[in-house]
Amino acid sequence: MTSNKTLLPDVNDLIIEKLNAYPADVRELAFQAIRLSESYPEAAVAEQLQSVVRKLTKQ
Amino acid sequence: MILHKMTLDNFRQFRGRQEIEFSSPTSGNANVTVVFGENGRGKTGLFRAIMFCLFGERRLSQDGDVKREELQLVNVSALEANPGQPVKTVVELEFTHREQTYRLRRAILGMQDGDKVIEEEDEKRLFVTPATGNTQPVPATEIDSVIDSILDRRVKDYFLFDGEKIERLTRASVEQRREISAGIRNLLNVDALETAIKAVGRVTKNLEKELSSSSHEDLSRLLKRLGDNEDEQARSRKRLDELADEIRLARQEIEKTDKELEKFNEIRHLLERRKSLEQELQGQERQAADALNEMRNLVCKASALIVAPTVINVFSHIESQKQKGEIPSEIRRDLIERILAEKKCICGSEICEGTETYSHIIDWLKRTSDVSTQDAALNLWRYLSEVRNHFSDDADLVEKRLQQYGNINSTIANINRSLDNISNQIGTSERQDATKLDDHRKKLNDSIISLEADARVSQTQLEQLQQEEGRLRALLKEEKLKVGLNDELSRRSILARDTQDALNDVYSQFTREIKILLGESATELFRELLDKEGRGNLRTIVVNDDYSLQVLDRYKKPFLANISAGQRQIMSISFIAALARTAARGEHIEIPLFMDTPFGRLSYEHRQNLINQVPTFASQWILLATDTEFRRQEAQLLKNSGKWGKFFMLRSTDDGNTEIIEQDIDAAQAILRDEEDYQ
Repeated sequence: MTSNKTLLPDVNDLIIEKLNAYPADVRELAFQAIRLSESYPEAAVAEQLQSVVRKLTKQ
Repeated sequence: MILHKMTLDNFRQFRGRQEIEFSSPTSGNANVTVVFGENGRGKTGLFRAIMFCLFGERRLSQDGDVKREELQLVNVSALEANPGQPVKTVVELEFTHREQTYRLRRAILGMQDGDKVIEEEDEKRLFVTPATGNTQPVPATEIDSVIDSILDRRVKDYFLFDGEKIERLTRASVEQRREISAGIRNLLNVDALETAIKAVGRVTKNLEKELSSSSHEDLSRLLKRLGDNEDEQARSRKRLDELADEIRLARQEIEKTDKELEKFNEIRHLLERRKSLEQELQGQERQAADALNEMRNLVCKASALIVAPTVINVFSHIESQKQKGEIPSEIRRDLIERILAEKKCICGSEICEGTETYSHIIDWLKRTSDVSTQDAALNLWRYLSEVRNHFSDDADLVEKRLQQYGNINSTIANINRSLDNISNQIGTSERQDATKLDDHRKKLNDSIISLEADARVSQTQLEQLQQEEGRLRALLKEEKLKVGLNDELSRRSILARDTQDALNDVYSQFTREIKILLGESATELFRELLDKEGRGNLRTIVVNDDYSLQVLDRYKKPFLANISAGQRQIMSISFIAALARTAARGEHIEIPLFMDTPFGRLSYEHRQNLINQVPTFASQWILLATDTEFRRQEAQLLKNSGKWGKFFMLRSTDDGNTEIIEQDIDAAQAILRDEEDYQ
């Protein structure tokens, strides 16, 4: 039993790494959504994201 | 986390103060503790005590639908001996984790109130002693988070293997898929990502709602169809969950009915025979389901067999042309055409129409097709030559599978006939109450069969809806892009939907990766636990897309339909151990592993492998065993491994409680029985 197959890397780092493959506006909205989700419940996150979406589409 | 000691005071059937000191790697090489006792003596109760002390939880996953208030923790005799007085139930645990020693104490107070027993949380205390030796109490508000950081409560159940859980995972059923899917979700530990997906989904839905009421007719129509599709999918998922619950409840009810029926002595032998036939039937049905799945996978190959005669004809035709030298032709068509046009041979002599030479050249022209047709014919010949070679292998495989499926079905029919016969005999029992119970049981069985069929239909519907959703989404994106250039609302909707898809994609990637990780880890354990014959045939465990388990043979072909009940059990144990290894985030499982009666259908070699291997990948192994599965033979193996440190016997007392008695492991072997004693 010497393999390393069961080691799970840090989840947040992996999420960020995987999101790097997407366009900048999608990535930005996804980052904001995850960041907000760490502190707020779903409804509050959705509320705050409305303005982020508006801002990003105007840019 | 290494467990050192557990003290129980009036906990469930353990009356008064009793303790268990676990064999731990910190005190030497031995890390195995055996707790030995008959069914109902409280083996699982010890794991329950640990979970209660760590998390304050009294229910275990295998309690099913037993209500919280039905699980009484305070000892009944102690309550009866102190009428009207509160009785304190305490569990204390001493363990080490990352060089710190923890002493955790949790207590509840219970009191008899008429027919009911009221139980209230009384105290919860945690003391931590670092390596430097300065013991500190942990504030009550922080105790839960400290414990969660040592062992996440979401994955706690992976460290208890009980026979039921092992059995559940061997079934190719909706319950199995649900269990594996929940396991993977718990391991992912991506709460923020899940909340983010839901929140972005909410934003997308709101924006699409606004868009659908806009003036873009095509867009509105697509959004409406997509909305209907999503609602339909939600209904299908709900239906699948409900069906899984109904199946589980029906199974529990059957178990309860069986216990009732066992009270009738005159039909006991029939019940035992029926139970064994039903187990056999379940095994055969699993094999039939697996064989059917494999046949589904063969459909693509099998469909090619329909055109086999045509393929062979075409191949033979080109082959004969090749043999005759017509393909590729010796002389190029363009050269012959040039000769005919110029009416002059390559040697310079004139060629006149109507002469014999002219007729020969015309014959050549007829036999020569154009170059691209020749190339295509040659390519086709090469391709068909390859395809043709596979026909006989594929036909053999399809025939073998069909034959196997037919054999399984005929065995199922035979078992069903025997079962009907037994049911008739039980039904004609003189005892009316037994007959009634048996009718009830039969109805439950029929209902499980019909529920499982419904679940298969719902699953297929869900898959079709998901495919339709993908198609609609592609159309919707196209439509949004058409209007999006001039419409800010549409642009916002595209961004929100793309982000939702991106987050879902990341989530799927995680799920896929963890499935692979679990498959690899389970395979590694599986290969070590299998007997020699199994190791020769069986290579890989995979978690399928639908969360069912599959085992591949050495040719990487699905083989689940052909494995024995014991091999299935080893596969389940390997998978649960892989969940525990992954949850423990390490090669070595640093959390004590409890196994409750794991040897059920295992052969001697499988038991031997389990006994030799588990102590090498688990930091501590607590084996909860009955007399029929832990015999002198197993004890000797464990002793030879040098890993066996402690042995406790759970003995029934005159007042119906349980006493924990520690025995020296040599003395323990004298208590145990030989295999022959059971024959």
